[in-house]
Amino acid sequence: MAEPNPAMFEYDCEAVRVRAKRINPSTGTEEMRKFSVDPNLTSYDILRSILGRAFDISDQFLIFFLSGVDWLPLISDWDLDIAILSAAEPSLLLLLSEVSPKKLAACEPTIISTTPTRVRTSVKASGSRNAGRPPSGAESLKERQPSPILASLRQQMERNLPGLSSRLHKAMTMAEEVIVPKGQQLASLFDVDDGSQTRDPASVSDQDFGKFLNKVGELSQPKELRLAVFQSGIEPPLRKVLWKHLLGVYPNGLTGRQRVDFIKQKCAEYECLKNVWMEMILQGRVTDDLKHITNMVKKDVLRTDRHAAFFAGEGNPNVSIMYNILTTYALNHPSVGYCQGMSDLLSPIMAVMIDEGQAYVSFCALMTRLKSNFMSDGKAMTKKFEHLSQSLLYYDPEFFYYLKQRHADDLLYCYRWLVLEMKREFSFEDAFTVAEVIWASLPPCHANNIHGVQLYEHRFVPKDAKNVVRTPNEGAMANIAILKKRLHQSDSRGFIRNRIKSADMADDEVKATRSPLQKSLSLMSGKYATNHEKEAPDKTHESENKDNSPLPAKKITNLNEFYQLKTSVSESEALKDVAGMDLDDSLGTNEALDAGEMAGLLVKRLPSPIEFGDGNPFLMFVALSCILQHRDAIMEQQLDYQEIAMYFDRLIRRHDVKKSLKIARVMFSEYLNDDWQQKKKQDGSAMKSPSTESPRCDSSTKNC
Amino acid sequence: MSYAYLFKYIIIGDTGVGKSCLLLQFTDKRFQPVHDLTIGVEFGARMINIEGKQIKLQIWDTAGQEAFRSITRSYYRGAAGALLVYDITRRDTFNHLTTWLEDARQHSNSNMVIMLIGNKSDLESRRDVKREEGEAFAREHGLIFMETSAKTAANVEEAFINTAREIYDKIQEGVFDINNEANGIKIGPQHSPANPNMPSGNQGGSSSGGCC
Repeated sequence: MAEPNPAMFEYDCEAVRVRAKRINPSTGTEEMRKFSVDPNLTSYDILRSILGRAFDISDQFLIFFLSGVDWLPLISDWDLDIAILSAAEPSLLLLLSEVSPKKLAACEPTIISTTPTRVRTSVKASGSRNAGRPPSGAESLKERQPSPILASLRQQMERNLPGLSSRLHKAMTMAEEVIVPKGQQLASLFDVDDGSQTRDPASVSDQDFGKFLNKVGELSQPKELRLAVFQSGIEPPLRKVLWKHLLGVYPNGLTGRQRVDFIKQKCAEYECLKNVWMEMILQGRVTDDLKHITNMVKKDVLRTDRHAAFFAGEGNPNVSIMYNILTTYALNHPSVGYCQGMSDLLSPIMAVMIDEGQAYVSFCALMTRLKSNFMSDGKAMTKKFEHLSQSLLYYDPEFFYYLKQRHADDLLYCYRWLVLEMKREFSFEDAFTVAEVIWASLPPCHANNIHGVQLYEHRFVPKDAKNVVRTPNEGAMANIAILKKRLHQSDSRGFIRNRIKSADMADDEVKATRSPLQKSLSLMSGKYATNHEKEAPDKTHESENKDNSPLPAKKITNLNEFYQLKTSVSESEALKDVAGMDLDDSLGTNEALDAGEMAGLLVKRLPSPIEFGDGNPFLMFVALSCILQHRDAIMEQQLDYQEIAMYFDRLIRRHDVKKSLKIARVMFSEYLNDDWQQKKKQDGSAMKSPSTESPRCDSSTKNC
Repeated sequence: MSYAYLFKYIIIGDTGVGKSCLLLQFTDKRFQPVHDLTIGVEFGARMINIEGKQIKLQIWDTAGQEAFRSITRSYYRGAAGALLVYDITRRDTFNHLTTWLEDARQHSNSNMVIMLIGNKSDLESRRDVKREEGEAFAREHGLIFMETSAKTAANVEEAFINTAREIYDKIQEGVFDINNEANGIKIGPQHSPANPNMPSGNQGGSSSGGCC
């Protein structure tokens, strides 16, 4: 809902840093809390409530603010404006004085994102089975000794196929050696588990954010912002502001004040959308379709992240808010409706945004990109599986072959990883970091983003029964069986050719679109063809694998360049280099392969950044990183398909965020260091709309 | 641990009927009132004993929502047993059984043993589907039937084990082709008649390596 602006002034800045001090009356010790507030949305009452919760104290306290050298009482919205305007840079300093300390307020953690103390509290995995067998996940690749057979296989590979088996090792070693010195302070943050005040000094703060804005508060350096977030994440209190930028909520070129207005207007729009179905329910006009959706949503919100403080407890209002948001989304997005997994994607956003309207708006922005994961054609998911499998083969043929022998190369146990972009693989709080780093790895919304996020693709109208729900269909997993088959079939190239052909056909269909659903589906399948058609053939593949180790500084530049990358290798070109996906099942009987057989399996080149991971290449590396950290353990224990799947199930919410991101960043950087840039020159400005952003911007449902 | 046979199960049924809770109760002997909703498929395993033979059950717990049903389809084929679950407090989950069953029959091997389970039997006061209705449905479609409670563990062991017994009997009768892994049955490594090349250093417990 749009919060009324209680303040006298409107501020251009979106965040004011607050440092609040309290003398604990019983112990006499000083406690400090730091957080940021949006001055346009924070009233005196809200500030009180934030402070009360931040210190976990009752409402009986007075607030003072530092004005020059004096501590003045802060007792109204008017005072708050004065406090903010006269705040000593960089922070507004507050002092709390308790009138009569009372029993601690009940824990209703509605402001978790503005209470840094809570953010790093570890959450123990509760749903893992066979907890008695903890996985040895934290052990590094280097620490583990491979079995004799594998060691000899590795040696053999290195003898016969120099450079190929070393890719993984190189990436891993770089992850250990290159990043650590820079991130030593970072390491200390992630080790903190006791709820103390430590924050990540490297993560993006509101001061850092200020550097990316111009005088009127316009985000003038979106790429630099992304780069900074990609490297080190965001300070928890600033997430509420930055996530909206990263998710592409805003149209380009808004000043700070305009952004505030934009959000208010969008929140009001959300209220209207929500009221439509809520009134139906209140008036008892519940159609079957509405009932169908609300029933599904109700069941799922009751079991989404209830272990996290934000959603915990009987009658937690945040659970009802999640229900409202998901129902509104499903009714107003008939092409996708409600699908399981959406609640998982929404929950971190809610915990960060707090405000219901802003959470809806941000969720819509995220879903613009992720809707395809839930589409009934299963194309996006199939593509992601295909690419994950390819890249595993590329980086670690030995392990891929191990999986292949056990028919575990379909990687189906990674389904949840890809659909939720790893959200459930990390603890609730770590998932925030993973999410923002993944979002920051994507290029900013391109210049066509003139409307900002759209809150509906087809406005829900009560009496029009046609557009209420999508019909039950095969769902997002539909083509997984095809993928599985494909990995085992003999002529994969024919398959690929057919895929490209059908993509071409779909491109034609784009011109004759009818319903938003058709349009959206056609565009999804057509985007590859569109890329394909506009590009000059790529002839830069000859020199593979120049093993020149890139320097970290250069890598960062590369990510920046990736943001700007306006071209891609066409799918056909990228896949031309995928040799020998026609794996012979009979090979599976051999424990050790000869080099010739191994060579037949190797992927010489990964798909281009535009294609890779269906528009989210970094996600592939996070997934790869999470797989590869456990490859030795899996191989040593000779786990079979089921055991591998169970092994990873036990790691739900327990993957090591620091290490996983570190490895993923390095692998991603190395990947970007390939010669993708050369293609940029070839095409120059040839590419317009089908840039990297096209799948995200989803023009099918917008006016842009 | 070595085993004589390995059976693969699949658990299917509407969302929220308690599939994951049944599995957790069976594998871990515990109940989680609030269980994460399953995205795609999750996995479990346990060893049981039938007539003195160790049998390893590998269980695939699938998401109930329609959007994920297709993955379920592709794995019916490799399953020897299916637990088809409904919630006795929600009639709609019972009404959907026909669809689930058609789906299962269409995509599985014809010998797959299907156990119909009316779960949440502890919620007697909220019962919406009579036991007799479940029994009648099972009789009509040739299924085994049990009412269970994943919460109190009532009949949970029995549900999994009776299914295994049925499969075991079918093997004894020669109905199943145990050499075809697509039937969801595998002979344990030690029991295989033709498996001279066991992977070295295998302490058992692993069914990998010798499959082809």
